Amino acid sequence: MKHIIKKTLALILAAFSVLSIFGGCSNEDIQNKGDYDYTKDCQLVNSDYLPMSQANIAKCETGYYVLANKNIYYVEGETMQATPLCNKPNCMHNDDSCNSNIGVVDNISYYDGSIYFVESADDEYNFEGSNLIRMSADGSQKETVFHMDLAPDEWIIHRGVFYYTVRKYSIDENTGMENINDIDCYIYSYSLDKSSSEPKEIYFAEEVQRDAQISELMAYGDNLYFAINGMKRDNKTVNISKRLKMNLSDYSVTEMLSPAGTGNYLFTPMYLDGMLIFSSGDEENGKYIYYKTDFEGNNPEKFFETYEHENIICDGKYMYVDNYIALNIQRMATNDEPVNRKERYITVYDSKLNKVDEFSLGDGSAKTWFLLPIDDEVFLFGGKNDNGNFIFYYDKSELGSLNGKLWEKTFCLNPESQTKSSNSNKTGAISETPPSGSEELVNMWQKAKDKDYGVKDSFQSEGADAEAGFSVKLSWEQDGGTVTSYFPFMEFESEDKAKEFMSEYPYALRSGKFLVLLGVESVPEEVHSMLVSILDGEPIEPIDGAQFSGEFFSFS
Amino acid sequence: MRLVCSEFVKLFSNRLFIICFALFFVINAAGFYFFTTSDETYKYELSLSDELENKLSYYLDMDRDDAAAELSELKEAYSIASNIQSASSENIDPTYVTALIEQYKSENPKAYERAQQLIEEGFSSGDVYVTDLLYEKFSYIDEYNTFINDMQSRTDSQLQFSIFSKPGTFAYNNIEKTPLDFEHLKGVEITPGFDLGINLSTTFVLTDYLLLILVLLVCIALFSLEREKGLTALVKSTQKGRHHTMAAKLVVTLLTVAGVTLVFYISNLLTGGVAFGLGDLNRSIQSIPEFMNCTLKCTVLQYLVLWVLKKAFTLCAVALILALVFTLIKSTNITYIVLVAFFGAEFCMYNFIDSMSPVNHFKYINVFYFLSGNELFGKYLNLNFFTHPVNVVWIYLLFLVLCALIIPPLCLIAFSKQGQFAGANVFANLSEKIRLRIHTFRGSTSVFKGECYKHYVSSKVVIVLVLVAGFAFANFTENININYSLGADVAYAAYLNRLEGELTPEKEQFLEDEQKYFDELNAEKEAVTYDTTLTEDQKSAQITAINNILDTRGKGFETVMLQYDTIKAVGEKLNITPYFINYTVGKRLMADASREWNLFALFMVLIVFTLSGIFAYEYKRNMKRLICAAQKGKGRLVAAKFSVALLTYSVMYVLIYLPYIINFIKTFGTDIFSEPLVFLEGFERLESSITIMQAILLEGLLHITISLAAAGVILLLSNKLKNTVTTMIVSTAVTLIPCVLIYFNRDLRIFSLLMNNKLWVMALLIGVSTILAVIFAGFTYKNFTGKSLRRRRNGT
Repeated sequence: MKHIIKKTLALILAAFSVLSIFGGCSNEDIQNKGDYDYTKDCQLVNSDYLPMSQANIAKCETGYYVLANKNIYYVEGETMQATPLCNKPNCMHNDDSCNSNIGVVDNISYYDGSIYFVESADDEYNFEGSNLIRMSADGSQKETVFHMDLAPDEWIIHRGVFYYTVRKYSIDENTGMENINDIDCYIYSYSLDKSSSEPKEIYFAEEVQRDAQISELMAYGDNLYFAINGMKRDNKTVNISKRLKMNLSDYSVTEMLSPAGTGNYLFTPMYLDGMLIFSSGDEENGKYIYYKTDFEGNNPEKFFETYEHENIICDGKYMYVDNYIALNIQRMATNDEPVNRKERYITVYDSKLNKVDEFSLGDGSAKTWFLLPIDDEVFLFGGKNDNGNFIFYYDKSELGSLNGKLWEKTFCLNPESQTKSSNSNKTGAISETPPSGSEELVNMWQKAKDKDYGVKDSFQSEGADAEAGFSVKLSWEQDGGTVTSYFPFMEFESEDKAKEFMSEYPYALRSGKFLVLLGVESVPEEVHSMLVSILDGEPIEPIDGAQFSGEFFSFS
Repeated sequence: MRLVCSEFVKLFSNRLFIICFALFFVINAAGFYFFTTSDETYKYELSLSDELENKLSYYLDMDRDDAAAELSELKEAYSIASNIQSASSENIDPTYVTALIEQYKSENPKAYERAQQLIEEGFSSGDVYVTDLLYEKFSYIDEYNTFINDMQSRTDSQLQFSIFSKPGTFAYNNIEKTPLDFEHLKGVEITPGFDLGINLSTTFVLTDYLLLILVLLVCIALFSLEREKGLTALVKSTQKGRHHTMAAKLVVTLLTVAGVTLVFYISNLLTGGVAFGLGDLNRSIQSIPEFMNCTLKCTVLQYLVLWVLKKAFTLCAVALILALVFTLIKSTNITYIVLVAFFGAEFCMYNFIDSMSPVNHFKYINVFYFLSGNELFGKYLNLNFFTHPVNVVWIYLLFLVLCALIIPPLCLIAFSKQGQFAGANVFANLSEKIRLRIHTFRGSTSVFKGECYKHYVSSKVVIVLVLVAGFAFANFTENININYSLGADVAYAAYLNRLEGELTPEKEQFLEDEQKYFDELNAEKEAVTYDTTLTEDQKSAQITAINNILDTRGKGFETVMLQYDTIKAVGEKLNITPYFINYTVGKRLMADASREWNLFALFMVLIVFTLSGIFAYEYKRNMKRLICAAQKGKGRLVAAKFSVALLTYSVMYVLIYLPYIINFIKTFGTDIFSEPLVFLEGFERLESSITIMQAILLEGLLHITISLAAAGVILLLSNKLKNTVTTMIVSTAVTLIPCVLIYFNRDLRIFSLLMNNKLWVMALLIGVSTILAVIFAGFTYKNFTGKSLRRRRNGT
């Protein structure tokens, strides 16, 4: 009997061992991989500098939504092309009637097939609060979900619940100057999935009052993470700064303290391969310690250490360490170019802290905390400059091959290439009427028209004794401006007549009795190529002026 | 045919209709001319019309692209010339001017050369304006061609995105459909021209509202008056049957409405043409930029014809709806409520539902949308019906067809089958039983009590007062506390808690001390920034703490100091002691455009509803001769009626306006009332030291006199028209249309008169309103009693 029991136990133990090998479960590797679902969970910035309230990008199943200035754009995931979120082909997307224009909004969020944002309900004389707006994924419908009496400071949507922080100032006859900054801070929740929901106060920052603030609101799994800062309520000379975790099942709140027992807090959790990474105030040998926990924020262990003021972000797959701040501080400290200044670079690590790659961004102002990771495919960025709205991205599939080089950005939306110097059907009057002249000339015109060149059935050329012709309008960027020119294509009576004309006007290209007059000694190479191709009857695709290489064709 | 003629005679022998038609026509024509030609922008363009015309003709004779190119160059040249001139004339560093000139020379030498010529020849701002305007017009040619010719490529581009390319969704269907609807417009020639006349003529809103009132009057005259006069039984006993009678009424209604519509809108077009010109009517409608999204392939003239027809058909459809309402509903009060509810709901849905709302159908399948200027035909729009895009024009046509097919038969049936007198309501017996328990008539009652009974009990005005009392309670208990969300606003409020009131030397000292405090704080911040003895963390903490103070208390103080400078200047100007007034609180009390309009409009609606029946009551019940044989004479009777009206008016005025004031006092106290209004932000132009309380009383007096004048009109109309619902309709036109028209212009409020120092206008309005109120009261008295108010010489 004992023998049988021993054998059974041995078998069971062996089975466990086998399973543990194949299951990959070891003490070190015991991590809750989590069940992060970006369509339902709070999509996080994953940066220790940028609060959620400034996230102007949201990921959806097929791509991304980007808020650039007052417009929402959709970026297709597969092609990384951008379009305004407007389903009206008859809309030029340049006024308030465009569906994509949502006014002045700080950030957007995506949840369960809809886009969410908060807009002000103010009118001129009364502050009327804010509205949470839900917009359909194709931008065709929008409705008010919920009204708030106060504008929220920060908000997130996590698993069907809208969480937002508000600050309420109190002012009465007895308020002295010293009490101006007495603020009561709250976190409210509002269920999006229940139609008759009411907002519920889930947290009141009782400990703090003077300059009080609840910030860095984010959520992972079943927990809400946030920070409270301010002076103690009953002793306004004592500063309190805490990092807290709230269990969303019972709203119990615990402090996220460093396991080192230093009394420092763990803050700004970032998601990395099933675990959460926290920065802390703990130092060791001049380096700051980062900790990792499981997906529920439990069991913190030391994970990583960096020199002070290195900015870290995580995108779920990799960790990016940026030395930008360290460089700046060096520079400020010496009030000049720092001695032994390091070059700015970003180092990429995987979850096992293996170095994956290193790169620079070139532009000193594009700090990593403006690169919203969202996922492990791209860094995406949208904004507005003097020329208009723009969206660009960095392709993370290139990681591993950069080796310290400049990481080139790719534009999804570049205002500088739009219309101004576009040669594709966007300039010139399209003439439906073919020019008079021979069949060959008409074919030349038709082919250019079919290729979407800006053509018209008239031409102007002084001194030309041409039988018939048409013009092609081309534009390009030169010397800081846009040059636009009509190039006349002319048909002469004979080849000799064409040659005779060229003897007087040499800056022209000829093919038999057909001629195109350039009128200047040099033109961009691309202009020359396009004109030659049209003249040959095999027009190439129009090349946008912004894409010109800068090389010139010269008759000399 | 004879029936039709007799209905026409009935209608056109109704003096009220004729008077209103003539009056509204004059108001419309004068209003259109006045409002458009007095607008500064339009006036300026008008003043340059000759030059515009000449230049336009010149450029129209050129090739379009060449014209656009030349205008572009000229525009650039004017821009450079203007910049150089203004830089040279102002006190600007000559080095900068030289650098500016060099920059222009290198960037655009041709334009610079032209600019030099213009400077030498001299040019005016008018030249620049004309060039800019013409440049816009000619640039539009390219813009439109691009818009049309690129439609398919935009479509193809959009369909490459997965969110738009799911078959069966509205987005996909709409994207597919749209280029097809614009396809036929390829090759449309765009001819620049003068668009102002067309745009203004086709978007003048007052005409729509005036015509709605006229349509109502037509329907009242043809469908309601006979019932009010008890002639329905007579009218129904016609030789050919009731159907013919109703059909005749409907035909007359439609013909009259159509005719009136044509007269009004054609008059607008003619006025617009005379004032601004309509330009070449043979060019394509798309030549006007506002019609870029119009899918009709027609000329401007054809569009205008269609536009007038649309207005006529829409108003005819409205007339049919009203005819049905009047035929089905026999009670005057309920009819009025239904009409107010219907038009009120339509108005609100049209103006307040978002264009992207899931229920935007109510916004666009809407009488006001159909009537609106150029929305229907001028702007392409598809509505989502179960993911299918349906163009709103088809919906409009369906609406017309349904109205035409369904309403007339319903009217015919209702007129034939139903009784035309309102029976007792279900509560009549119960209310009578209650009344008998409470009160039994013992002998005669006083005239005043009798009038009170008629007004409050029989006419159910007491129910209205109960509802208004509820409104008053809600206003009284509403939380009007200010929710501060910005620290700077809180800081400002805290400062004003301390500073509010007369500016004293102690307060000025306090401000000085505060300024010193912030100067020291800023110095401290700078010192910390460059302090090398501190660690970065220490610096960061200290700077953060300082910034917290500067962002809240500091910003609040900045606002206070700006206010201080302003009140000092104002105080010096008027030679009075400056006062600090809390701007946030003060503006809520004195400059709330929404509240002022809401309360006044509500008050107008209430007095229209409650006072319209005061004199019409007896006529409706054929008791006029009986009641006029009063023991103490008709004069006493009229006085009783006026007293009852005044009582109702006063109660409603108090219930509407007072609760907010009391609530305000409860929340913010009374200190603000004794402070001079001129020190409140926005009122600095006032050249009087009237206090806020005096200003409130003045505004109140103006409200009272204007509304008393309106009440006087209502009472007069009630007596003249002898019909409650007609009185309500006409009174609504007189009182509410102006309210609706000024709704969207927040500058047209009574407090604006104070802001713009127009106290004399207020006094004038008070005077005129008082005189009008007295005159109307006098006419009413005379009309009712047959006596003049003046004593005759022989004392009789």
